[in-house]
Amino acid sequence: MLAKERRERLVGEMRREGIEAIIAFGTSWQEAHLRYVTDFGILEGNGIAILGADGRCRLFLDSAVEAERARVEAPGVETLLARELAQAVGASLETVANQRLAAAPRHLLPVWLTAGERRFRLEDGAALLDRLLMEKMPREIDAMRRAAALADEGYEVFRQAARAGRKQYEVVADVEAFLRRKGSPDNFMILGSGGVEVRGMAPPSERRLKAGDLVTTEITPAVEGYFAQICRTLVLGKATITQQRAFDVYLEAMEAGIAAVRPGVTAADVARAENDVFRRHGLGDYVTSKYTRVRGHGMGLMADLKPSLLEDVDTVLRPGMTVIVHPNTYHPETGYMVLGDLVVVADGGHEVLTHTPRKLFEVAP
Amino acid sequence: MRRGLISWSKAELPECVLDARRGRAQAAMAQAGVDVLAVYTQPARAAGVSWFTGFIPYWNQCILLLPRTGRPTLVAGLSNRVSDWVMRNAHIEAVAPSPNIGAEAGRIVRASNARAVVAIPDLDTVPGGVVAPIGANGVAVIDGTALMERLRAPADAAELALSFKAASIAHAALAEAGGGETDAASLVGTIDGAARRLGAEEVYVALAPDLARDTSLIRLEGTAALAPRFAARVSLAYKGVWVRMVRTLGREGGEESAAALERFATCVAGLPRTEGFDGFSSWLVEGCRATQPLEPLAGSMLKESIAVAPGTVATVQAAMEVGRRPVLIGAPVLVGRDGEGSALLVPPQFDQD
Repeated sequence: MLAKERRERLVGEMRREGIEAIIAFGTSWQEAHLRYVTDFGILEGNGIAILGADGRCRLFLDSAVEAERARVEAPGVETLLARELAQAVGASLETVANQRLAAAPRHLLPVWLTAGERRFRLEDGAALLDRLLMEKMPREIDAMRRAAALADEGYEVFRQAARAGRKQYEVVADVEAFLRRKGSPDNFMILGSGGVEVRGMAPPSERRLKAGDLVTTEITPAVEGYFAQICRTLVLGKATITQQRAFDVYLEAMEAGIAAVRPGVTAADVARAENDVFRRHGLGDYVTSKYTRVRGHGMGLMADLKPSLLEDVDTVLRPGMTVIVHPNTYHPETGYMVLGDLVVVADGGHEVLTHTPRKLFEVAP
Repeated sequence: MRRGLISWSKAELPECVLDARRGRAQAAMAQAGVDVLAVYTQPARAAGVSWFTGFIPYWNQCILLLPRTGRPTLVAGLSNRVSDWVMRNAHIEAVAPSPNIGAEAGRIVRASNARAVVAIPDLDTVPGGVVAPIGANGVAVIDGTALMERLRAPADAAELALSFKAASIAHAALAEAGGGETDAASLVGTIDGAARRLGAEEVYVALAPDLARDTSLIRLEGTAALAPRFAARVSLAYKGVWVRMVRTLGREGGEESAAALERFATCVAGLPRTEGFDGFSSWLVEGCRATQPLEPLAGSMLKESIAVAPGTVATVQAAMEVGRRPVLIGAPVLVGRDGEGSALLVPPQFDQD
């Protein structure tokens, strides 16, 4: 079982580093550490797990419905409902205050646990857990492979759903319903529609799609907690020469980025390969933080994990890491465009996990 | 990670309503000697900031700084590229994007008053990495939970209207579920899609696929076969207001539904008193006091109860045995004021094909 395998791996690392307990915090937008430790996918409220080096795992949750779910969904974990979450965890930590304790992500822990006079001391354990989150085991890659296949299918549904006159949130609803029917309990998805005025993607609004719109999206379904993302752009109607010419830059950039992915290179190397293409085309301004956030990022138990693909991130890529390479940014002649594929770093190179054609799709409005 | 409809509706949540809430808050702050009310938000704890501004973070964390006069500033962990989107969807003076929201909030607070008193609702739950930089260098941080709680109860007309709308979406989404369904994933897809098409901002569907074996409501991974009797719960948000509804369905039985509904409705009418629920196998009352949307207030699994505030909307769910069959039921409730009975916002559903 994947959860057990993960926990055993973590316990092994804890013993090697002399850490006697890991305290993992999770909430719906920062769930990876908690999921790694407990296998519980938190939706509501906050959760904190204490994993001892003996393998005992306790999960404290401040939502009653989440506690009911966790008792079934996270076997092998002792679940406790604690409305006063920090205080309940603190009481447990007081009993092991003489031990070496590490928390991840420590900065998100409730202030009650990290400030004030406490007998226990919490080190920052993010480095240990982040490494395990990034460098995945073969069974984790298998889950990501299945999620990537679903992302491809999800984009096909998106293409069918995107029609002139439909509201953005109605299109997203079709994709979400499809993913639930396929058994994927979670997804991350934002989109944009319009023309040169569109500078990014956001959650869906009431805006109705129109003929001629560029419609961008990233779809990120989860399988067993592992998220896989795809980014594509479509035109409602026939693409103009300008749109096609712009898209060709993104395609060249993404393919340059993907070609750079292999063990031993840094996240910066990949970002630079993408950005150099934009710079060669005179679009260097549009790879700065004014127009774009990252040139891709790690994926796994969260939709956005380390490493960020940026020219100042020196994280070395290793086999088992999964990153989406996406040179998404604003283009001054067409508006925001996206294109991204999920890649796993493999011995000697990489494998692309998403397989939707890399093209500017044209969809009948 | 929200991906349903997120947009501030000025028709449903007019600026004058938000200004009135702000005015009440600022009066309370002045009375309590509070210079800044700092309300933390992230997708799972968005109810405080959405109440003040209409803003819902789809991702990341933010902190709203409400001074004693004037409109608030939102310090947002979101990228500066979405600042325009934030401004369109929040009734605020300004947005200040920063990867370190605590440090930026502390800087803004100190710039106006180096010895400010900052009240943070639900302080104990806010990340230390956010609180510590605010409280540095002479600024005093205190717990603002009680202040916020007093502001929110009773709910105003706009909040009640949003609650009714959320309840009607939940009711309609569950009405799409058929007792003849045999595949759990298909059922979840039907409910989830229906709720989002009706404008839900977020939707969580939980199932008890075989009530004869287990009444726990869980999130589905993959799929499962639905037994002759099963239950579905939809938890959803509409414009920042959360509700839950639970429905028992099946291909057999059903004669127990009238009795179950009568028992449930009788107990619900007695809220904020909860003694009537003691006869159920399990029960839970949730509501929003400050920043947690559906905080557990009372229930069979809670050692101590928190009083449900009259005039607020609570969500009630219960499990009971009727004719030796387990029945799950749940719906949002408007808790009565001044001795009035409490009332269901929408009727719970039962049925079979």
